[in-house]
Amino acid sequence: MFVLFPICGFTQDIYFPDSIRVFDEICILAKKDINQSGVKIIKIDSLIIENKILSDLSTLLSENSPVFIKSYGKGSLSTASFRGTNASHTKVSWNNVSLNSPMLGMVDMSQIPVAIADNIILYHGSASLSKNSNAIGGLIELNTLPVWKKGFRGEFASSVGSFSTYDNQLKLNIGNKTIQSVTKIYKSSSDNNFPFYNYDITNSSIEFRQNADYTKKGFVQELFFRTSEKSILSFKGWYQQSSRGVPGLTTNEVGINSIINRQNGDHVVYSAEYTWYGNKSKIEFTHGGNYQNFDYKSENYINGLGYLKVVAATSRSFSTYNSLSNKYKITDKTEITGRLNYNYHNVNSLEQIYNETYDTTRQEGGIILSLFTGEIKDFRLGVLLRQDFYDLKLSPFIPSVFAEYYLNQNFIIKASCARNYNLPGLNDLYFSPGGNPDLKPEKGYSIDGGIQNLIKKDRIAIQSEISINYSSITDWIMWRPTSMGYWTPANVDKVTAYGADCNLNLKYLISDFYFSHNANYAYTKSQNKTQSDINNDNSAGKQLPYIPLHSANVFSRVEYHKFYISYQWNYYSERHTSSAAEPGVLVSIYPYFMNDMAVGKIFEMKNFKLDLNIRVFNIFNESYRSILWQPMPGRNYGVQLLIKFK
Amino acid sequence: MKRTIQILFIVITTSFIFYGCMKDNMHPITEFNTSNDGVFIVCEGNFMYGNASLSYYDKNNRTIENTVFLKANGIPLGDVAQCLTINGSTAWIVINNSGKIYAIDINNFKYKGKITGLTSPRYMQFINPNKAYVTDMYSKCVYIVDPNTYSVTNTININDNSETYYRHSSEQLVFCDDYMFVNSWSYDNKILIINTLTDKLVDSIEVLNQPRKIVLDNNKKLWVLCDGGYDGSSFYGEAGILKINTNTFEVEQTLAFQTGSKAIDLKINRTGDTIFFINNHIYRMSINQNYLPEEEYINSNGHNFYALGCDPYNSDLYVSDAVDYMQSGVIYRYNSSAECIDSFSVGIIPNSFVFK
Repeated sequence: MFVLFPICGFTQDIYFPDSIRVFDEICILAKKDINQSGVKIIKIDSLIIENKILSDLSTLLSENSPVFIKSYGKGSLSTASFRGTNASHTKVSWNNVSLNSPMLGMVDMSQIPVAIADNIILYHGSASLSKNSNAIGGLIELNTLPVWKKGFRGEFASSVGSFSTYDNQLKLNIGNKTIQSVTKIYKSSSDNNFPFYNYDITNSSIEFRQNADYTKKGFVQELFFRTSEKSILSFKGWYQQSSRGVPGLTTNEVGINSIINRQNGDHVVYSAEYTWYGNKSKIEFTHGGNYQNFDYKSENYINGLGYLKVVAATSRSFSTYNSLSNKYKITDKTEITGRLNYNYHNVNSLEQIYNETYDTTRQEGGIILSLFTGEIKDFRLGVLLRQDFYDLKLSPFIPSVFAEYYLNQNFIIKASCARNYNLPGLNDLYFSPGGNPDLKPEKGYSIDGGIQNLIKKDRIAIQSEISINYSSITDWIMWRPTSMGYWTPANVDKVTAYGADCNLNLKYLISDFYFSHNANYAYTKSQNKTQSDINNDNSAGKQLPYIPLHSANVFSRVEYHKFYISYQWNYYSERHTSSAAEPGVLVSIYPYFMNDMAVGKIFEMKNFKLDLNIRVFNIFNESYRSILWQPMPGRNYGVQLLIKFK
Repeated sequence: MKRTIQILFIVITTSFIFYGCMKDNMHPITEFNTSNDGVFIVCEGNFMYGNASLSYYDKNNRTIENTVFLKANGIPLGDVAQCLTINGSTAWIVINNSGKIYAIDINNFKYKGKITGLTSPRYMQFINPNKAYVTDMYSKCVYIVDPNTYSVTNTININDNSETYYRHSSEQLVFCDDYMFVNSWSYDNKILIINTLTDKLVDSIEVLNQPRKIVLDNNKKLWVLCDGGYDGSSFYGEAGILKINTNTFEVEQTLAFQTGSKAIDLKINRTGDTIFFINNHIYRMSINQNYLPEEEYINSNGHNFYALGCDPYNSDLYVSDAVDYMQSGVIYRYNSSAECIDSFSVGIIPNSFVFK
């Protein structure tokens, strides 16, 4: 019993402020499913989610996880990279429905509001294999959860910030012990026209960022039914409409309002889940769908002709995701799980000006069998076998093994070894111009190891984990320019990514001060190991573009009699943009340091709680960029109000 | 309480360590004074990466200086440097995706002026010291600019008013007997003819798909390299080399490449009697020849040859290797016997050579 639930329960007797769910995370990690043995899983602290409830996933992950986010600025394209892999190796799911575009293979993290999830879990590397995912890098799971309380509850969050930035969210819960309804409505918008000093042109001066505005609005409806003592049925739907400008580079001198690049989109995701709990088994069925419709247009102002479109592209996709799983407890300490997946994608891409189009479908499916046991004292061992197919072709067979050893009450040693693969995105195969229908799936294996530490003393709780990882991926898909001007993907022979990451979650009380810290550090070496057949190619052995060798972040908060102050610090080491990781200001970006701060007060009354805070971003007013020639805002401010109705 | 204050103090002071680490304006200035014969090498860089650069090669001393614009002026060149044209002591660098043309001194590379507000400028050709044409990918016109005032004085309408694709774009310019010949490359198949006395589009000649490069020989025949578009495109066709009579505006000769060709650059030697072109390898061909050469002049041997330059003062041939198009390119200098006499590294995607 101790092996399965080593520390759960010990947190119940400690006093912490009511408003803060102090040890949720530690309990959940400790009570984790035996099927998650031997792997690294991070659950984002609920305090952080609450703090960033009006942010997007890009901001939350870049500031509070070891995942590297490549962002073109607030509201602009942001992609995630786990452990030196690329954006399409990071999968994101919402209630077991993949949010990855079947065309691009990746997810734009700036388009996912934190508010749509109640909990956010990061599965590193092989941890994602048991899910409906082929995430070579990792899986970010967003879930909504029912709270079986009777009555009406609500939550309203609103913030106003510099550059006409407004974020609002309303969440309403109503129900009883058998039925629950959750409705969330949100809207975020910003003119994002911040001033910056443009050092990149002659006659430098202060300019205002153009064409960087964004709006996204949507709603989520969730219905949970406790259909019997042993079963739950749920329906969840999410609709979002978004519109944003795509700004140019600082070197651009075409003229204000001379070029308009915009992306508009509609996004519908739904999920239906049925879960039945037997004495020894748990059966889950999930059906979900994801419809994405994005338009991108680029218009130039031509004297005498007005605005003329030079690009008018539409991308539409509809995907369904289906899975059936049965988890069966052979003994108290041994579980066997079987899972069937079937996904279907239908996509259409059309560029109207040059009449470039493709229209295709893809079927994917697979079977997963796993056995995890804790029969050997202080050990958890597991094996997972997975066989997928796509379009009637067999994918590589994926065996993986997992092990955990409980050194003592506080330390767990973990290790795993797994194969994995990733299908090319449909744009990789068919996009015009450049699509390469001869692309092969990326194949790889990974080895992970680490030690997790869970400590609780009278007034302190520490959760920390140090991991090392190694991945070798063959047929890595890389887009490169061609002599014809467009980019095309090709299978690079081999990429290895290895490194270490560690995270620390520390909470303690000193006198009446409650401290909470969350820190992450990652060392990531991601190298192209291909001996190129191109003469003069110096990319072999070099760090892949835009992957930092070091990244770190710290979130600290101290609360005293309902007053609190929080501090956010972020760091990325130098990043290179050329394939040969060459030095120089044209092809590399200096290390990134960012400091944000918030000061607030919590007011608690009989029926509601109110949290009001003032935020300062980029507190040292640094003139900087995180992507070459894309300016970022100087010091800016926000006021956030959070009201919770009980 | 005391301990808390200590911790807060440490956190706040530690964060100050990182203040000022990010600086956008740290580009030191270097003074240049070149007078020897030299070659400008335009490195276009990657679209939307802003990593275009200008290199300068001293032919006599065989030394290379990279990123000379950045070093001399402390600012980046911009996004996609398309070409460079020398007029007198001024070099004009057209920056395609930055909508501007920089004018610099050809000896010290110092900034002299700029023409801004252009939509997607491509190439520049002087008619006389006071008047130049600038082509553009999307503006549906050719700009007439006054180099003395760094301004656009007028435009020449080349809009074909059709709904098909986005026509006409305009590219390279070749001046012959008061006419300017302009190739319309992007999703097009036309050579446009502009009367430089009236600044009007007067005619056009249909060629193969996507006329990419044009040169004029010593018989005043216009040679056109058409890349044919790309496989899988709705506008994919035959690639080849055509010869056009600049008096009659008629195509005199069409030499088609085999399917799968990668025809990307065309140059003519200093005497105007031999053309060189890249189609994977480098080929040489007399202007009197009516068939394509079967044997390559210089084998690529695994290089991604991208651009050619014929030295107008001798018979040296400069060839750029764009490698994987995402790292520094390499330049090879060959003598008249096709022997490589020098090689050196430059910026990303070296696309042209301009001889001082």
